[in-house]
This record gives sequence, structure tokens and C-alpha cells, in this order.
Amino acid sequence: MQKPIKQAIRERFEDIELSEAQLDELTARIAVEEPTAVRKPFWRQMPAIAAAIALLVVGGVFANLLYQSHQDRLLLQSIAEEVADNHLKLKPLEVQASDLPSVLSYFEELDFQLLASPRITANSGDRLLGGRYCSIQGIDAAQLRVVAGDGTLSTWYEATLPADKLDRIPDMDAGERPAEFVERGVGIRIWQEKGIVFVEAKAANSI
Amino acid sequence: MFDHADLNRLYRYCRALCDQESDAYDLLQSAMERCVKRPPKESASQIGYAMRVIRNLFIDQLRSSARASFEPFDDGNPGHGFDLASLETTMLGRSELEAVWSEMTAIEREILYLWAVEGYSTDEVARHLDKPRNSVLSIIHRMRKRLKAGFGGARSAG
Repeated sequence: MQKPIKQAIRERFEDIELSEAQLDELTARIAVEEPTAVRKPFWRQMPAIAAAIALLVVGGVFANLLYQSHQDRLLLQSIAEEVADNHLKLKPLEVQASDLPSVLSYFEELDFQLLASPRITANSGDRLLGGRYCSIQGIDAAQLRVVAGDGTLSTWYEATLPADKLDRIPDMDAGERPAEFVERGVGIRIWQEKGIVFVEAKAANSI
Repeated sequence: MFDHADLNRLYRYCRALCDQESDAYDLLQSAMERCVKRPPKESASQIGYAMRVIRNLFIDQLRSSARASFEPFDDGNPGHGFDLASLETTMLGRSELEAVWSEMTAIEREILYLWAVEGYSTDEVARHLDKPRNSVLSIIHRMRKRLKAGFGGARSAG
């Protein structure tokens, strides 16, 4: 049926809308970017730990321990910077779903088995938005996005690393605590479970 | 800053500029990032500001990707005074519109979107595009000619 072009164009655009997931993502993204009051960041807790390590420096054995710790820290810092960049850029989701198995099944091209960690949507009100491929340290990884009940967006990453690098990632299965950083206002936690590297990122003031 | 209705409105504008849905969403995300980092002055319209940010980002992207010209060549012909109101009598079916739409340049799509959906007058379109009125009239003139010649069979009711 012929219509005036103005009406036809208007009707054409009426059908165009963002999906709920896209709206949630944009809303959360705006909330992440808006300036907020800065609470005490993670790194301010580090000087006490660094001082304790310094007390252990005796002889070449301890100097070697320091060197290894520094290398570990460099790796973790590098991962934190990379993840903060991914978190802030928030490129479009490649798969949108609210159940973890559906999202994880999308990542067929990864050469490791993704884990459905209960930590990903651990809080009531958390809602999974979907995921996309990304990379960590040059290796293909999975990024998942979760929005909390208060609108806070978090991104989660699963990746593998070569054995020599994996050894430097805190192992929660061994009772170690995640490494924590703040990069460009983003709070980052890094750990491994069952040989898979997990990273969680969200606005530092929401942690 | 922007509610869901605002975001949808801005997304539709992005879709008028970009061919691909994913490009439009990327453009909107980048614009939102920019708007939050550099919010408009309190007296300014947030939507109007966001639309200008979107447009500027879109032009920057086109320039950096060295894509085909965003704008048709301006032959300086003011189009014999035909403004957007002159398109009111043009009649199109849905499939004809889709065919026409796919053949238009980004600026032609943008002009039609601003007029039809946002309700801009020719002068308001010119101000938004930061172009002389005559340049906009020239583009409208070319669109009218192509619509009458049958971009797919669109014809005027009078």
C-alpha cells in the first residue's frame, strides 16, 4: 500500500529498537563511566603486604623470591590493564542469553573447556547478558557480561595461559586469594580454578 | 543521563546514518562514552547534544576509513527552491521505501530521517548538518529527481 514518504519513513523507524540486553548494557555502561566518589582503592592495601615481603629479603635465595614475585606481579598487572581496557570498551556482544550454559556453548572456537563457575552470577539480582570473544595475553578468551540488580555492569573473563604463566596466577583451589588491582577506575580480580584463569572487572567503587 | 526511550531514539538516528545494525550500535556506544566524559552544558538539550556527538563520530569514522564520500557532490544548484516540504506528496510502498533507502547516501538518509522522524524543517536540518541552506536544498533536489525517475517505482501523488 502506498503512503506518503514521510509516514513511510516514520513507520520504518518505529520498528527499530534496541534489545533489552543492549539497553541494559548501555545503561550500565553510562553508569560505569559517570564520575563517582572514589573509595579506598585496592592498591592502598598493598604497602603493608610489600613491607612484609621486604622483611624476608636475606641472601640470594630471598632475592630470587623477590624476582619471581616481581615477575608474577608484572604478569598480573599486564592482565589487569588488558582486562580494564576490554571492560571500558565494551564491544558488542556476540551472543545474548541469560543462562550460562547457552552463553558458554557459543564459544566453540576456544581450545579449552569453559567452566560454569557459580561465582559469575553469585548475587541475587545478577543477570547474565551474554558474551563475546576477546583475548588475554594474545590468547583467545571468553568475555561474559553480567548486570547486577543495582545496574552495575561487570565483565568476566575465562582464559588459559601457558604453564609457566599459569603458575603465577593465584590458585583458589589451593586456597590462594585473587590478585586485586584498580586500573582506570576499574576494580580487577584475577585467579585460577581448575587450570582456567578467571578475571572479574567492575567499577572500583562498587567493590 | 539517558533513559531507554532516549537511547532508542538515538539508536534510530544511528541506524539512519549506518548501513549495518552492528555499526549503528558501535556508534551509539562510542557516543554515549563521549557524552558522559564531556556532558553538555546544563542549558543545552541532552538529546540534541548527543545527536551532534553521534554525527561527528560518524564523520570521523568515515574519514578515517577513507570510505566513499559521505556527501554527494554539491553542484551549487539550489534546487529551484524545493525544500523538504516538497517531498510531502511523494508516495511509496514499504518495499519501495526499502529499495530507495538502500540506494541513498548516508547524508540523504540522515536528511530524510531528521525530517520524517525528528520533525526538522529544512532550516533546522541545515543547522544540524552545519551546512548552508542551499546545499541542503541541492541534496533534496537530487533526491526528488531520483524518486520521480524511479528509484524502484516511487511516484508523486501530484
